[in-house]
Amino acid sequence: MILHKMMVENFRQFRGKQEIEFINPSQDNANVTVVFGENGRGKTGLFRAIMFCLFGERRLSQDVDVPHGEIQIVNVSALEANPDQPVRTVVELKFTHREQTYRLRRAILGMQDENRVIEEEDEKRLFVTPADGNTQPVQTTEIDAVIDSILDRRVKDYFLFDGEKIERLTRASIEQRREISAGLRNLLNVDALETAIKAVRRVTKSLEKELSNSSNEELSRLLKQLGDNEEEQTCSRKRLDELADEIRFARQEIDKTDKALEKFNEIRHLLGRRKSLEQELNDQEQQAANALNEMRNLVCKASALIVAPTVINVFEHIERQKQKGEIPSEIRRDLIERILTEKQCICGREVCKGSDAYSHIIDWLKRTSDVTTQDAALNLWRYLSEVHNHFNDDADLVENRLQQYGNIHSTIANINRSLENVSKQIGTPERQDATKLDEHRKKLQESIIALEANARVTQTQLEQLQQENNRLRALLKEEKLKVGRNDELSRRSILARDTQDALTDVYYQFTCEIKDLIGKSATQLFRELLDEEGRKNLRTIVVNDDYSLQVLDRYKKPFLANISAGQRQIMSISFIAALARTAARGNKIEIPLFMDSPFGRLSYEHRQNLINQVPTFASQWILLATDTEFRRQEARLLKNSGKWGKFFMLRSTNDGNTVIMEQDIGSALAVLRDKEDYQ
Amino acid sequence: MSNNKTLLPDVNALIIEKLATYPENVRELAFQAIRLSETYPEVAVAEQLQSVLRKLSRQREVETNDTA
Repeated sequence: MILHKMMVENFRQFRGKQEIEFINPSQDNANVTVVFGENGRGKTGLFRAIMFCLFGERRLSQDVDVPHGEIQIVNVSALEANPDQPVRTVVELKFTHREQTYRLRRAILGMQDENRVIEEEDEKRLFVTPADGNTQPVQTTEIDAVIDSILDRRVKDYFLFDGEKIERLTRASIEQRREISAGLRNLLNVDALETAIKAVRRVTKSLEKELSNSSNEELSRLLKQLGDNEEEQTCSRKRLDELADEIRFARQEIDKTDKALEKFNEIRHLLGRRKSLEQELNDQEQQAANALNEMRNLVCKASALIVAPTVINVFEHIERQKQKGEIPSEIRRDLIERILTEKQCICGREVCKGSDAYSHIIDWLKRTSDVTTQDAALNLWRYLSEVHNHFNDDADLVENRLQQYGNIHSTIANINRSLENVSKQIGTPERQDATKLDEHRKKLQESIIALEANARVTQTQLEQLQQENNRLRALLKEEKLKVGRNDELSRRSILARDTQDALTDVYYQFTCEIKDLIGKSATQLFRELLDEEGRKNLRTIVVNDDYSLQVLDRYKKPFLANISAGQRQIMSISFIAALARTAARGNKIEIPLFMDSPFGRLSYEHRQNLINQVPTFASQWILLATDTEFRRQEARLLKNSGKWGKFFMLRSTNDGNTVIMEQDIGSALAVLRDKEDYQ
Repeated sequence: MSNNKTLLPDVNALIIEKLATYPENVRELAFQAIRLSETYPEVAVAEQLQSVLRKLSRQREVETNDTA
């Protein structure tokens, strides 16, 4: 497909009929058309016009946040000028594809109805002119299919894209990937091979069913076993696909969560601090509870401390008596009483009543208690002596525990103060909820680990089933040959199954080779387009089984999650170029690259590389660029490449509309500004 | 309208090349299946393949008888 001309009439900013005639690469060496306009002049309007004309789409991928019905394509001034009349909006595209010329025209009628604009499809027409010049209209019901056969709508985003959104191709959703994968298989003609495999499988099944009804018992048994085995394999494959989808979904969720968490980066350290404080608080509260329990257990012992002063008093009193020798008394009471009765000392000396000795003995008698009392006092002293020692130990223990408990409480109070402080710094409840995102992320990671384990088990089961399948097939073929030497049905069945196997092998080899080729080609271009810094880190682009992309770093580790938006953009463009090269078997694919503002996020080195490379791999490059991304420097580079064929400027009119003006390339350099003008 | 979606001009040649190692009748049936699949849906391809299979099977029978 080569675009020749686009006509827009009352479409968005473009009032009345206006045209762009793209450079025709088959007539000129040049293949680049630049449409230049400052922001708001209608570059995306032109992008929208091409998508509308080819695919009837009024919404672009960048309109996801715009509510349905709010995208108006009919020119506002035209509506205001004709308040009671419908306004016709038309987009017409002229293009060639495989030596046939196509003229596609799509129109809608717009009408102002109070505060809203009603837009209704009015016309859809396609004319095809083959090389013999005999123009034929295409039936309206066939138009979409014809356009799809030229540029499959499922892969259109790879060729007609908004530059800043192209990096989305590297992070498409599961549903989008399925669509893209189907579109790419179509583009690479793999879908015909897939249909062929399915059709031959259908034939094989039908023949084997017929065969099992009419053949011997062994053949029927083998066919039944093979059927069951294939059914189980289908289930396992389905389960593997589901698991892969779930894993991808979880990974996408992690990406989304990471993105959401990025907003909280500034408070991330505070969230971490809060988490550790909460953990610490939890630990301290646990310690406080343990200390309280220990103190409860101490209560029986500690209660004795209440009577400690009295006990100590008694102990000390007895101790004093002991010191004085009153307990036990130096002379036993019964001996003193015997001396007083016999009036004779144990030394034989006489002790008369009224003598000094007698008075001394009477004094001794007064100070001496009886033996039972003394023994009781001594026992009490010994007991109190023990209790007295324990009092000290228990008092130390209680004091220690109380101090510990007090310390814990003071730590808890400090933590609570810190928590309050951190929460104040974190701010709003929404920000405070960021920790939930972290928890969600952890759960997702855990679920990925479980799903991957499940997938490994299923893969092993599938491999075992495949081995069993090979064994059964060999037995079946042997049996069919035995039965079928003279049986045409068996011969057909063998041929159908052999063909099914052959096609499956070819499909596998073919898709592996294609993916490998795309990967290698994309890697080569990626490295050519990257700046020096990027080349140091990023080594290989890998095309996954579902045609999603991965980039490996110099250590051959996946690195996609860490590359910049600009690098993603370069990666997507490399993939598109590789796809185009592979699909065209090394030639230039006949599909235009229509890029809306692709340089915005790119460094000058990246821009330079793109300007040098894109015209070499694209058959036609239509570049919609704004003043900050297409400056004199970029224009000079493009001019020097010799590939720049046409230049259009989008200029504002006084009524807020835009006019498309073609200018020669020489004058473009005078119109454009230098890099320094933006500094 | 002719079907223009084949952007790989030599894709069939590539597949035939890969099928070269298979027996002739397998190759022929596989190629017919791919050729039909470029135009028709699966069910229609399967129906048309039944007659191709019959033809190939009969040819094979004749060849075997001739050899015998």
